Amino acid sequence: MEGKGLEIVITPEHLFDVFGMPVTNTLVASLGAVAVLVALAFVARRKLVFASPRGIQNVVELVMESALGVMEEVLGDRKLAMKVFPFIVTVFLFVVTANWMEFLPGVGSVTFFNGEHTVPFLRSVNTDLNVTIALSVIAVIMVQTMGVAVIGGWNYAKKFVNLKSPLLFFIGLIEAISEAARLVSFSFRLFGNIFAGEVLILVMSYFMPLFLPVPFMLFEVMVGLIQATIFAGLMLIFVKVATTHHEEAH
Amino acid sequence: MEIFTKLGIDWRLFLFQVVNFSILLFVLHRFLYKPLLGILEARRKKIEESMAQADAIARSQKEADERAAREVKHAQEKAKSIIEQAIDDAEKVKDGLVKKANDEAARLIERAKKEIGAECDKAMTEIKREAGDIAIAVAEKVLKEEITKERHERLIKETIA
Repeated sequence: MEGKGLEIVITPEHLFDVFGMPVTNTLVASLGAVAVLVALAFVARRKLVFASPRGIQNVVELVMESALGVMEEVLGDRKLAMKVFPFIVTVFLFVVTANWMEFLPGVGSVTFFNGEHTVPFLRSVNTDLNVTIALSVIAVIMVQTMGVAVIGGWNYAKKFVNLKSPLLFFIGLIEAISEAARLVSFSFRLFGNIFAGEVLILVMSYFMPLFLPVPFMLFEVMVGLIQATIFAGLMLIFVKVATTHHEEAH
Repeated sequence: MEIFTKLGIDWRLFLFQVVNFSILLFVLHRFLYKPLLGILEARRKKIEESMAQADAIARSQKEADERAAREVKHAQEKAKSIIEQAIDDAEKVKDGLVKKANDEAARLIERAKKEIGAECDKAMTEIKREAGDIAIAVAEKVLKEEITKERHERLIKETIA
């Protein structure tokens, strides 16, 4: 940061290229988040026991079981809940891990010279639209697939293309548009919240670097958890909507 | 498409994130969710089975208890009837023995009476004969010549008879 003012960049900074693939600081951070979760999964896997679980396994079991319980309750179908469980829980874990990694020392402060500028080596993962759009696309495809799988392709298509009456046709059209809008709302909500948090903390640090950012950082920890919950919760609700027959819903 | 560039959206980065997430999804599914949910499910099943087993054991225990009680009662009844039977038999045997002994005694008494009677008769005849002889001797002494022996005997006989 040669300049005196705040430098706020909406795009992730380009670090270097690997085989023609641009590597950005958010990409490195997302690899880090995945690595952390994979490592935790392997450690947990080795410690899982059938009888008399102790310590952390109890917590993990409690969380997973209550998550599954919520899904089962919302969807009203254990098999379907088991199917969407991995997607929703993985999105939640990934988003929350990525959001909280933002507060690790070194994220944002360790810099890298990419040939033209000096840029942070790591950047909060969800301040990259590529990440949030990727998550949204996966979420929406998962929702559509579940919808088709549960109520059938024909019934599912009838939600969007209905020629019985002009009114129903328009409702179908609105459904289709809202389906597309989900993609945008999913990705920009997460991106906007986390990016705004980053900017907020940056601004506060600019005012008074020592104590002022602390309450805002705490707040952002909450926001990181809440955004992950919202993303996962919306996925669950959209699955519910997609797997419900339209005729019955009226 | 300038807006995409301005927002930093790059299809290669997008694709990379999709792959990245897919790998995470696969790994977590394979190494965390599946074993964990498997354990939870297995534990739920095991608990259910154990409960059912406990119920079955309690039921069979109750049945066994009832059967044992029934057997004991049955055995007691049987023992009672055997004892009663034995007492009955013993009574019968006793009665038989007493009767036999009484009969024997009666028979012995009867025989003894007969024997005594016979002895008596015999003694009577003997006495009669002895008395005759004595009378004859006495009469002989008294009537010496008067009456012959034959006549005398006849006379005695007439007298006695």
